[in-house]
Amino acid sequence: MADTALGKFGSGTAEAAVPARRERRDWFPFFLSLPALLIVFLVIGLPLVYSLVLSLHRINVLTQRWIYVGLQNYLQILPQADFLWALGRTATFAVVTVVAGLVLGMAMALVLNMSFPGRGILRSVVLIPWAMAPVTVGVLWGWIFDGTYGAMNGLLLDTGMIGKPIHWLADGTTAFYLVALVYVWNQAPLTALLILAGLQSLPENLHKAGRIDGAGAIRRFFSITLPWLRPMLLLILILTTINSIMAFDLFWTMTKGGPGSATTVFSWMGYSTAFLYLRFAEGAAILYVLTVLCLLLAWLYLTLFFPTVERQRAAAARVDLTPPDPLDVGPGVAARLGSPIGAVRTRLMSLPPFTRRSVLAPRMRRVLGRFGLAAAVAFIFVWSVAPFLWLVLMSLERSADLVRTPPTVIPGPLTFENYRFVLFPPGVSGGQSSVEATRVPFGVLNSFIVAVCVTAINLVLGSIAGYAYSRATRSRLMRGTLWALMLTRMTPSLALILPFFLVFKWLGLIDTRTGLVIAYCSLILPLAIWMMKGYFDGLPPNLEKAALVDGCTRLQAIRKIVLPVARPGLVAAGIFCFLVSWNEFIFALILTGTPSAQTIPVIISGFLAQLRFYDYGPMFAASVLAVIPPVVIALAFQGYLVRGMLSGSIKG
Amino acid sequence: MASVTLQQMSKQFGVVRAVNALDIAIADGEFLTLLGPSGCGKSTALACIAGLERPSAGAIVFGEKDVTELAPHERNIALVFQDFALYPHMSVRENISFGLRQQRLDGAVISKQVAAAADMLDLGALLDRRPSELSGGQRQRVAVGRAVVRNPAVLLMDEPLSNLDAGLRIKTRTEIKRLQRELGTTTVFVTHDQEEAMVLSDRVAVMRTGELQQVGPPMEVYRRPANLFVAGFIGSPAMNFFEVELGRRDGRVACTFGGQTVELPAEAASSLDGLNNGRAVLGVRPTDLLAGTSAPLRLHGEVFLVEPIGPVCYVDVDVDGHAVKGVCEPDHAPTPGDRIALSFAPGRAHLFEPATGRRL
Ligand SMILES: Nc1ncnc2c1ncn2[C@@H]1O[C@H](COP(=O)(O)OP(=O)(O)OP(=O)(O)O)[C@@H](O)[C@H]1O
Ligand SMILES: [Mg+2]
Repeated sequence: MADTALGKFGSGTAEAAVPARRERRDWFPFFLSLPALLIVFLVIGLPLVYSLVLSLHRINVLTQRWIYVGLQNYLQILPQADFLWALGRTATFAVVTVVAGLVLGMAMALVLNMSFPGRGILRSVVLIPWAMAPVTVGVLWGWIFDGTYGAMNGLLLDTGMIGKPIHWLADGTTAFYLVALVYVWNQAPLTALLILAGLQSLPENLHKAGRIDGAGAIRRFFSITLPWLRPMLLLILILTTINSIMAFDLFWTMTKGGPGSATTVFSWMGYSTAFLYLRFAEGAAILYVLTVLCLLLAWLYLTLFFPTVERQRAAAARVDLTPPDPLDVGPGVAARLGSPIGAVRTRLMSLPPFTRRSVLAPRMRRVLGRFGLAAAVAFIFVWSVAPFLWLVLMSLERSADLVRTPPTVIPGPLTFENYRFVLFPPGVSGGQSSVEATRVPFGVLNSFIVAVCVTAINLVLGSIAGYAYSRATRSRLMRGTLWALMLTRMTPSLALILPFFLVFKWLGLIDTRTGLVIAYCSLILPLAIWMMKGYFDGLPPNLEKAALVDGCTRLQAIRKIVLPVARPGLVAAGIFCFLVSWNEFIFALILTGTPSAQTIPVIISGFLAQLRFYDYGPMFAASVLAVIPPVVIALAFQGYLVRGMLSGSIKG
Repeated sequence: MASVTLQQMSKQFGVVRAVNALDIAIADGEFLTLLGPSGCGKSTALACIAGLERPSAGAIVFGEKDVTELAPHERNIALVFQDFALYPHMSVRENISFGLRQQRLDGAVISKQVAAAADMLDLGALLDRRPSELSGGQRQRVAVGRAVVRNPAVLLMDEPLSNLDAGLRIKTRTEIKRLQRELGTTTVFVTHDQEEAMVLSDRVAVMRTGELQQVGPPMEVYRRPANLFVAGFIGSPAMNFFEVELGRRDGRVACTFGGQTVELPAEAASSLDGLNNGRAVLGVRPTDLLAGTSAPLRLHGEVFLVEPIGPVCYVDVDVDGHAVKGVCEPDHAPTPGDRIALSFAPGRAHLFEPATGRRL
């Protein structure tokens, strides 16, 4: 009939007469991403290759000779019981922390998404544990659970619940799960933030429709909220899994892999093999296994996550090209011709009125609900703030009061002496000055310089590359390099340290701030590109097109229009870069050695290593100094963070 | 000012051929509308004219000059976007003057030019606001201001009215028409709203799946649609179509439809030769099918729906099992169940070849 033939007409035109113009390849996006790609290759690609080569050799520490041994290092470590145990512990740690973090994060996000007075404050406050550097977190909680002086023992003794102090961290299983608990405390806010961002994008009408259909709150959570969050949850699951596998700082500060080997996870094993026992090659092999595990997980993540994005995009791009068939007179209308009014309605059954069964009376439920919300809010507040306040309190006590026996939570007299110690070390006399305390100002300064440089470099490179990746989604080259970039984001940083250490030694970059800045780019650049790409994805491409029409070149359009418009995204990404750099521990620990480059987390860890009682006060003062900048930034820019994360992750 | 000629212009996106061998010559100062359903390639064609996309084949000529390989800013065009694409971090004044500042014009010239554009579009009071502080209609005016301020040779507009509410759309439509008359700028206007196209254009170009269907003045496209698609797409409510048997009867064309026959004058179809087994599609617009008048050609049927819309009243009639829409006087509206005759003038009948859809 006519409709089958309609597509044909007009196609007979003299198409062959016009020569096609040669397709020009558009290299512009590639050039934009090139600097970032080069740097990522230099700071991640090469080190990975280097450590692979390293793991295939045996190194004589004295003569520095490399002897090729093939897979022998792997063959040696793989069947070892220690290795398998560490593998098991890593897996357990990952499963426990991921599940607990997810449940807790989900609960916090759900509460934060409700409306109650003070919600804005609570939203900021939950970020405190996450903004604190893992080293400070470890110091704080390690002290709380200290077997002799700790606050937990103090509390239990003060209230008379126990007779003598418990040595929490002396028991293997307890220590392991305590580290897991602290890890969850530290990391759950990130999960909560991501889920909250997802919840805020949930169309409100979905829940209204559910309510009209008579679904209760729990039913709606499982049938509406969870399915909506599924892509987000998948992302969180994979990211937190990889983070948990890579967790190291807390083990360093709280347990050092002990007691015995009860908390020797993979990362600790690789670290101790390489840097405590100086068996570089074996350490490299262990860390390489870790890398491969992470990359496998990453691959899983990317194949699970990317295809759905592609499919969604394909579905969105598909437009129905067939116009309504002009010959279609509507069979529906024709069929209903002559049917009496109301005939359709009589075909629907009338249903009995619907009432939801409920054990409780409505008023009772409302009261209970309000009470439950208040309790949850109070719990979240105490959970997030109390440990932090305890840290502040300890920094205001005299060292002698911190090590009272039996322990108690009743504070002694408060003083700013500790801060004077760490901020103006030479001015304090009395024989109690310590070397470590004099280093604190340098540490803060180094941290600041490094973080600012890292932020500036990564923001510039990351935003330009992110823009290129956001706009050139059709080029296979760009898609491929983006994939590679995201894969490198999944490499455990531990695996990069060994090559950095050896290469920096050779280049003379050990113990320099420059070295740290270079090393941190490997952690941050892929993240910065990813976040900025997400932000640019949300900007209408017509903006740059308008600029092109208005006479800009493509570079001018980026400089004059795109970047100024993307300022909120730049701020969010900048905060991320700053926080990650400021809080980083293990790179700084290994790549620096003196106050000329040591950052504040390393200085704090130095206090721990000395273990002199009069240093405890200054250590907590230094810890407070270390957490103030990130906490202040996180609190001040909470709104930016939610937005930056939303765009950076949901859009894949 | 310039004429615009598209010569066999095509644009391919991977496997999708968004624009296929478009051949249109637009005269200097003309207002041409690209009209077609969503996804038919109008925006792509416009982006090629603007230089934002590079055609896969064919050429674009402004005046005498081949501009196919030139960048947008080398073409002296201006483009109004559907989402307006105002720079959110600039004030209205900065938005409008951005293009002029890009050309490094003298400050005095710029402010004079901006003042003239602002005056023309009644933007004077808004110059220091940010786009986020404007209403939809005001944003639209700023977008137009940004386009006309450079006095471009060719003005391109991509559905500039679709983000406005119905009332404002009609008002702005008139404004755009007035502005274009005053400026005399060659304009290519993209829309999927046929009413907009009819009102605004000197000529309408109807597109479908990347291909040009018909170009002509609005009333010609309306009166003599070149094929079934154009006939069905233009006009609201849509044209009634009947599959009919054709026969010759004393020099007239007899169309048999169900049990009823209407006889059209011979001129109704320029040629019936080569029609296989004498079948055709007869099209009559609802507005030409009048109930209760005595035009010469009639169809009989039973009314099943009456839709008064104010000035007229649509009646849906069951003609031998086919729903047919016609109009009647609201005061003499039939009631459902009545048998009535719908009559139409011979000149208002359109005949199409079923296989190709071409007008006969
Ligand atoms: N950058 C692109 N890459 C691939 N395909 C594209 C691209 N831009 C448009 N298309 C496809 O080309 C076809 C025509 O798109 P175009 O935007 O020109 O349609 P349109 O007529 O403007 O539609 P609308 O009225 O919805 O704006 C569509 O099928 C679209 O999916
Ligand atoms: Mg369009």
